[in-house]
Amino acid sequence: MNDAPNAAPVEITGLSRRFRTKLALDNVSLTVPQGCVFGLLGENGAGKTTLIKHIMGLLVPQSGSIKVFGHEPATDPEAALGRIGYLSEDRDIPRWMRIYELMRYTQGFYPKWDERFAEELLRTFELDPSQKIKTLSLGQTAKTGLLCALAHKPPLVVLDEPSSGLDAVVRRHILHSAIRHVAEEGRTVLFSSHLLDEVERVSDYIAIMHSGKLLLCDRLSAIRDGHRRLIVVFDAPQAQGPPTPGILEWEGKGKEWRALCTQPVSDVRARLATLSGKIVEEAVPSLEEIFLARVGKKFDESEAQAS
Amino acid sequence: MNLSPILVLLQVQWLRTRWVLPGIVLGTASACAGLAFAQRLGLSGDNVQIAAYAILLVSIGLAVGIVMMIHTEIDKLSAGLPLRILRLPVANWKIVLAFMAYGWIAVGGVSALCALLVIRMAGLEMHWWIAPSLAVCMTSAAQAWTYSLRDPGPRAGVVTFLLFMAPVVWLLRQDAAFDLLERANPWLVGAAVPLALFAAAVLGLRANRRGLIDHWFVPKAAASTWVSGPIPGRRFRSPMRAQLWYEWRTFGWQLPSMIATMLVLYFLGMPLVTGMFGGTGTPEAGWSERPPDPSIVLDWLSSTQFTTTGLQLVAVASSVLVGGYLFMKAGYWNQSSTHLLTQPISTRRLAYARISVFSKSTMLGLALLAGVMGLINLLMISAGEEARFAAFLQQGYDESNPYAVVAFYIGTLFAVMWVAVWPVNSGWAFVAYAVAIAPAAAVDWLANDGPMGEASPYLGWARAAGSAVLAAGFAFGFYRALRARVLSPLAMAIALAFWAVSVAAFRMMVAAYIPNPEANLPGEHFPHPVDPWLWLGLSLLLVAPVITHPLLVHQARRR
Repeated sequence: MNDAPNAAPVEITGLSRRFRTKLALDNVSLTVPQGCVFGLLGENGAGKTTLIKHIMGLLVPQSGSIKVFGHEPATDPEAALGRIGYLSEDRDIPRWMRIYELMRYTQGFYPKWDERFAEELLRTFELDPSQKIKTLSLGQTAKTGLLCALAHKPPLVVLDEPSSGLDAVVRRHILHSAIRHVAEEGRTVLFSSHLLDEVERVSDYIAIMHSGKLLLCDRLSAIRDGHRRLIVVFDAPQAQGPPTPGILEWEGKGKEWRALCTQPVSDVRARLATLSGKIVEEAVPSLEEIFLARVGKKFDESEAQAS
Repeated sequence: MNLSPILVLLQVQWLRTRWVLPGIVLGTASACAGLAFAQRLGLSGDNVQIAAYAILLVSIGLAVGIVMMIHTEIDKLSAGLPLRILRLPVANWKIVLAFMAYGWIAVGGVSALCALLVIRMAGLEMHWWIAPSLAVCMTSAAQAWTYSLRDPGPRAGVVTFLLFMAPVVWLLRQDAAFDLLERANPWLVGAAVPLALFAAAVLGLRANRRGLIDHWFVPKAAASTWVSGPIPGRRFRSPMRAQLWYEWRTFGWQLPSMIATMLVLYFLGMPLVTGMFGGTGTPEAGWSERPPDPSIVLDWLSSTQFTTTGLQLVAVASSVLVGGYLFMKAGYWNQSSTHLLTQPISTRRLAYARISVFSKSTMLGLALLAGVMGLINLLMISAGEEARFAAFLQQGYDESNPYAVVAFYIGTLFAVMWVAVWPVNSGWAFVAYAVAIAPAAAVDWLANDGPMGEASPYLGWARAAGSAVLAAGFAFGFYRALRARVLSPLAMAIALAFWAVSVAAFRMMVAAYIPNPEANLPGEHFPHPVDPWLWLGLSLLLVAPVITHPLLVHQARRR
């Protein structure tokens, strides 16, 4: 059950998956590096959960391959799953158990279960161990699942929509600190979310998914560096943003337009000059702006193809 | 008076059942047509009457079942009204009226149509109104019962239903009540019973919605923890031990506890209800008039017919109820829950944990039944009676060893229980077997005017064909399981042990049969276990779950 030397926590190559006529994953390739927080971003139905299910071995790749620490999770679940702490989207936990029973049961599968850390999480999450899971609220169930995913200190933590059901305070102060804590210990966190601010706050790496495709996958800092928000003023009013290489999205009317560019500003400035446009302001865009521009552009493309 | 909520609820129920209810009527018509055809081919009048009753009962059962199912949330196995209905801003009486009225119309209508069809097409001799009246009363009683419960679970359901039925049984045992029923106008009774149950249902729903009986079955939780055992204080020594604990706590303890409950209800409840409340006799005295007698319980227990029948009933009912419950429980049978499939344990071990726990559970259930059997014998001996438990089973096998006969009986109980707690895995094997033997059996039935006629070669062929189909399916499943490496050596040992149980039971039956081949056994063509082909088929049913369960888990993990 030894890991392959230098094997990445997750390595996905050309992964595709089709459910009847719907293409849920389309040739997805990505590598999750060791010791980072990897945020999987996408709107509902983008393919995040399908991708995570492949990582957990719940789905077998129809084409392509997936490796977790060098092991194929579908064929070698014992080796792959033993290294993962997982919180599922549906929070599927036996409802008849009490919290302490669930902890003891989960402990049986993981030799590295840290009892002290589990007690600490219990206190932090303000959970009563004698409470039955079926009597817990949605947020408490999520906290219980999170506790079981973290307490055995796995080298890879996979959290599918961990914020779902958690209030803002718990999300910001507990979930995020837990995620950062894991990463600071040199372990890896892969989590999916559709909450952009959350992903931006804690992630080192980001992958943006849309309609089963991977639109973007890079370090958050590199993504930010690679995008610029520009305010452009034209000499004459424009009916629509002029098609310009390097500009992902135009927004505005008349003479003043906002643009999101993906190429060096100097190149874009030169191109805009030929169109009588002048950059008057330059700023680093937020992740939300980048996401909307990327996904919005895809929407436009698919609409154009449909028409 | 705003009736629109009632109309909406009626419409919703109609939408959920609009295809099934006419389907039941059509199915009944088809079955009746088939029966009429068989009658023309020469099927005797008695057999036609039996078949016609069976068709009518199945039709009514289906109609009642379908109407009751629209109240429930199948995946949660809750018998009561779903929370979304309880939370509707609608008065109690309106909710009850909407559901009960639909039950009356749907069940009454379908039952009446089916009764008319069976009477006209199959010549059943009965009054047409009896079937709908009984069906409506049954539905109303079931509805009134379920509306007062919230998330009762199967055990609570069985207990409360039996408690509910006890006064009814007692009432029916009263001559005065029986006389009254006989003299009363059937239409009046038919109207009064549903109306009384309507009132009971409104009161029950009122209490349910106010949370008055939300936790009525308080001892249940404590009892379930006590019966199923608490989690050990120390950490599990291996993932397998943790999984075994999980399987036992989730499923394993249910069969023994259900058997224990049923045993108490049958062996204490029934004699008490029928005997202590007066005016009845013992079963052996032919139900003659007799004043209440405290020794009635002892009389009941000494009645070997009722003891053996009771054990059979308890074994079959408990295992069918538990198996049915597990079947209905979403994701149980192929372990499709995310939580289980993502445990870091191999498929082979995951599957073996359930096989192991189910086999222990069945054996514990059997031990309970055998223990009660022994206890009854001891009780009889201590009361100065002759211990003669085996006597009833031994009828016609007087020359055979009573212990062998009892062992055969116990082995059969085990086989029935084991097969029933795996409804999906054994079910497929059983369906394959039934489909394979059906054509030849039907030809045999028609050619011989029923199953008890002269010996026929058709059934021999049918049994051989059925067993061949099962053996082929078994071999294929075994090959696939071996290829997928999901069969643990221990699971194979269990399969072998169960095969041995089957062999032993078969040998005992043969040993019991040979000394007196004419005694108390049907003719040669009747499918009893002496037939080696039938034995081969049935013995595979016992092994089927051990092979198919790991394959289903394997499939679930490799979607």
